[in-house]
Amino acid sequence: MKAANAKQAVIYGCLIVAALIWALPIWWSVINAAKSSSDFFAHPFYDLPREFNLLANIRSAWDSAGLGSGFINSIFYGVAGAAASIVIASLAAYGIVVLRVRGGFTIFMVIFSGTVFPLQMYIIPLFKMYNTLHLYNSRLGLVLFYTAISVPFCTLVLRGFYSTVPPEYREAALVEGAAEARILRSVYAPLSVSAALVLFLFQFTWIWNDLLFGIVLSSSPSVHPVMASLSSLMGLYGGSSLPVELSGALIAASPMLVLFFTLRRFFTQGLSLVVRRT
Amino acid sequence: MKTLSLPRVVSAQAAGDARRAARRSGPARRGRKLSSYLFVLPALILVVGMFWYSIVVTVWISFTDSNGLTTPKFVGLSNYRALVQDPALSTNIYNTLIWAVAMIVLPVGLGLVAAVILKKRRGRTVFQSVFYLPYAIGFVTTGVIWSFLFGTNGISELFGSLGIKSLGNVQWLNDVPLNTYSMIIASTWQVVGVDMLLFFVGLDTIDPQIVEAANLDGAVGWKLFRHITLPSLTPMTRVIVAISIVNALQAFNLIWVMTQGGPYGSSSTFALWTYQQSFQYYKMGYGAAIAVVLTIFVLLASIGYLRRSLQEAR
Repeated sequence: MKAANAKQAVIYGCLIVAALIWALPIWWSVINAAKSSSDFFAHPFYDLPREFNLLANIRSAWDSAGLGSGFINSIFYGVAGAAASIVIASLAAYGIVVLRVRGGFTIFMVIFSGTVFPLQMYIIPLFKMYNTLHLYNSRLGLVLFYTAISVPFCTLVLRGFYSTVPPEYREAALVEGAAEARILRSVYAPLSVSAALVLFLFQFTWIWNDLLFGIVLSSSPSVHPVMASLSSLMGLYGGSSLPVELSGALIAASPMLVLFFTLRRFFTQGLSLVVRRT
Repeated sequence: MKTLSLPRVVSAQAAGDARRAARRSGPARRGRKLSSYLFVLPALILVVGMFWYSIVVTVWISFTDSNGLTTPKFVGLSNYRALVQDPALSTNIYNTLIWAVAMIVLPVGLGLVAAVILKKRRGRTVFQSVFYLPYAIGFVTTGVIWSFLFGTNGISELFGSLGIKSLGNVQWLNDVPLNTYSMIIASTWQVVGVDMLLFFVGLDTIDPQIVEAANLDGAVGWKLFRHITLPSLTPMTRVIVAISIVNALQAFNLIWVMTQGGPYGSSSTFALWTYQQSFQYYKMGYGAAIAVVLTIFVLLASIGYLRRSLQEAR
């Protein structure tokens, strides 16, 4: 019994040390985001702030380097991109699984494997294409890209989901004279609300965290998504005002933290979807 | 089956309806089929127009001297020949491979350990949230935080004041190859939580009766882990390893924020190299060639997994 207790104590000891290693960097970031620049350079980083400067730091991160507009842009990109891709993917999934278009599996593979290549394969042609079509550095261009990149995964998931809906539902609706689009909207869509919510959360997170395409497809702070703004904030100060940079990091992370802690169950469901993501 | 209990008249009528419907359905069904392509069209246009188009064009650009200004000229294999002779190639291959190996061993291993230890343990929710927190804040934010911690006013100061002099003056992000290892630490810190949650999903699929039977046979602790838990987790482990390799081979965000591949390209990887050649030096032909080589690596690394998931999709 004693040996077992000792073993449990050791395990908990290791867990607590690990938890500290995982939590301390975040704690340090928060307390240093609250420091004034002079306080930060005069005292060790692990000291508590001598005056509470967080709101001033957040304000200067929000205003300078366009982190504020990046934040608002990314909410728009995330909501519009995720919603549009779910609509487009549900149409495709309905066509493939329910209407059984000829060559449906091939079409599915073309849609699904369009994005399995490394993202670096897409950046140069998209940059050139966006310049030609005057989509470069425009909000429309970014929404279009974020929609397109989310479509394959949404199609994969919704295709799996629609194939579990009993075909009798559609047959009954057809007998009543409903059109296919109507059946998708009032039979299949309501049945897949929970899957769509998980997908929305998942794609919103992807779009929110994107840096690469933000810096490839846009250049001005008023169009940049939030992570592009945050990374240019780093370059802007070159380390001269770490408290402001850390405040910027807090701003950029805050929606994800709120989403994670309020919708944790959806995240876990989303993860079991990721497992199937290539 | 239900029609059997209906009066004969009704069921005969229904049969007649069905026959008439069958006669009608020839041309009608074809009409419906054609319009049903409208459903798949938007997705097809987006994916083919943006992604399949890009893949073809990137391969083509890699055979040209495209620089974003003048009209590209076909130059054959000369970008690839230049790539083989580039002194930066070995650094990029080395760093890319280190990232791939480290991101399989560290986060997957630690995630597995955390999941097995925390499963059915009191306080699981608290520990699980703490380990997952870094994943929730995102790559770029993680990069900002660890740039601060690995910078001059960061953990070196802590080690110094703790009396660990040898770690007090370390240039975490400037010394080679330490800078790559430092970023791997930051990346591990970030992704362990998600691997842990994935292993929880895997652990939930293990039949408790099998565990009970193994317990009766005297398999507990390490023995149970080695002979029951680990083999049962194999499918999940395979998925996690595949995702980790593919992600690590494309490592970009964290490196871009923390070192931009520097100093002097010492911490660059293929993904970063492509971006820099294409968008900082505007050598897009060269950048495209690097991207093509990276793609070959990624496809080779994930071919087994891809084949499996294709079979499952079918």
